[in-house]
Amino acid sequence: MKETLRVENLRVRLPQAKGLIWVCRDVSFSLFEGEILCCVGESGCGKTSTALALTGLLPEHSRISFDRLVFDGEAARDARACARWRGRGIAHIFQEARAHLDPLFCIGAQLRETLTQTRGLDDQAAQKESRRLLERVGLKDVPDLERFYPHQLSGGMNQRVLIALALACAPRVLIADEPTTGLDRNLRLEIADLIKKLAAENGWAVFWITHDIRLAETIADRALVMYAGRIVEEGGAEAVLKRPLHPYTQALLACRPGRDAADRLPSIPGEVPDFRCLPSGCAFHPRCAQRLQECDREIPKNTVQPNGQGVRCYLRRNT
Amino acid sequence: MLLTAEHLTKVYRVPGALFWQPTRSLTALKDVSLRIGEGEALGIVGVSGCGKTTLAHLLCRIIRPTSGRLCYGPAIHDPGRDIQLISQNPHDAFDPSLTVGESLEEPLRIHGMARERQARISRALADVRLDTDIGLRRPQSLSGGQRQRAALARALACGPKLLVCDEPTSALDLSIQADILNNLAELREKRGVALIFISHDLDVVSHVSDRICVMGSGIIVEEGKTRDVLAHPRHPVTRALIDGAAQFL
Repeated sequence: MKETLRVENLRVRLPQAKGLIWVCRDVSFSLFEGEILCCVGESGCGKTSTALALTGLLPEHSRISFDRLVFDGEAARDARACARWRGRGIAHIFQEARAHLDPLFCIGAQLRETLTQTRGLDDQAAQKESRRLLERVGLKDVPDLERFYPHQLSGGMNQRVLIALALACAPRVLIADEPTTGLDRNLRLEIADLIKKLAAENGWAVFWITHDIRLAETIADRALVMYAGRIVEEGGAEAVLKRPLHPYTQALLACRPGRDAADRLPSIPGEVPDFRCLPSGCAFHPRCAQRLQECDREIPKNTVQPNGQGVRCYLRRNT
Repeated sequence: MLLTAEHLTKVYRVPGALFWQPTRSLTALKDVSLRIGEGEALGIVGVSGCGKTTLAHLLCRIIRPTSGRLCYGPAIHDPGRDIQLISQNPHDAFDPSLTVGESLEEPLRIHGMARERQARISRALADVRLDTDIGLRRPQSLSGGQRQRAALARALACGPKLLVCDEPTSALDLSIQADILNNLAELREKRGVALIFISHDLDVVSHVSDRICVMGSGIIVEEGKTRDVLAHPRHPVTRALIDGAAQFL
């Protein structure tokens, strides 16, 4: 499988009232053609900052650095390359579709504008192509629908329009930042199926951010788990989400309510740490039920297990 | 019986998108009847747009029904105080210009319990495992889980007999969701609070509730004991919900 995007030791600092704070450190992964990589973790663990860094959409005065960032064989010299790749190279779809569509223009006009700007189509060709794309994402009565404004469409329909906009750019990488959060379960599955189908057909490499573990189990080929700005576990989706090795992933998966679950659900004690005052050593150690003496001294290194799973935990260093 | 809803119907008047377009009627809820006993947990499930939130708002008297009525049992003296709502989005649940403590005091003042407010707030915060110091903070400085727990404390401070929870965990992470669900189960056990738990997540509803109502297009299509309905669904809407959920398992 062809490697479309390679990220080595991505580091992100965001501006806060008292200066810059680290929100991502040593984040490394690869995205392959036609493959879905799911990034899971609790809110505030750095998932979205990683994604925004890759499309150059972080707030002004943020600092991005990396050892290596290669998109489609082209190595980035600096962080500005990400903004250049955005659109035709790397497309981004977001959680609240309506908030990312222009409320003043009907959806047909927004699609036509994207097509003329990114693919240089004339008005007539853009009109034809926009209708084709809207049909492609499963919308019906397209000639009428393209005259609708975002507020006249449901959440699921707006998300499909956002996917059509991404499709219009013919990207190689799609970053999907919780595109199904807030939708009901059946709609979530429809949107997930649509993206999976489009990824397979168009050879997209998809970086899918979610905190919905069930969804990740359904769609992901590979998975990575983030905690406090670092990747703590990565590998094949089946291995990471069914047989996790890191105590954090194990604790997170145990929180899921099931129909046969016990009366009291296990939960992770404490809260996700604040980036301004991260604990020393492994950031998960204050909440970890299996912590060792050395956990608060030094950050554990990523250890690759015999099955190829990468784990950042002292418990797995000798296996 | 704590609360009985009889033949509730809600029709909204929806103005046209542009000012010259005619207003149309939208029936969000049609002839819905349900009942809940003291200390019971009733789950309400259905896809988005089936009328779950309209039903929650009607039960809490935030909106008035177009027809139908609510009948209260002897345990409910003041419906505004004894029936409390926990809404979906903890970020919108608090006034950003007030501290959490001020927000917690507000319903107590409204319902004439200002004198005992400190004791009630302290007990409610302890019940949801939050420090009393949190009262001094602004809601925007709290995490999503803390904010939802504070919303729960605000509802509990009034000493409700019934909590209507409208998707209280859908915006939260799994670990925080587990915490909130454990909290609700404890409160039911300790305080005997009845719960109406609304969600589109069958697993969450089945974990919390004894009885379940399945909604589709503004009507209740199936009702029964949670275990029976999930094991032997009879209505296509219930089957579709279970099948949708099964694809995730």
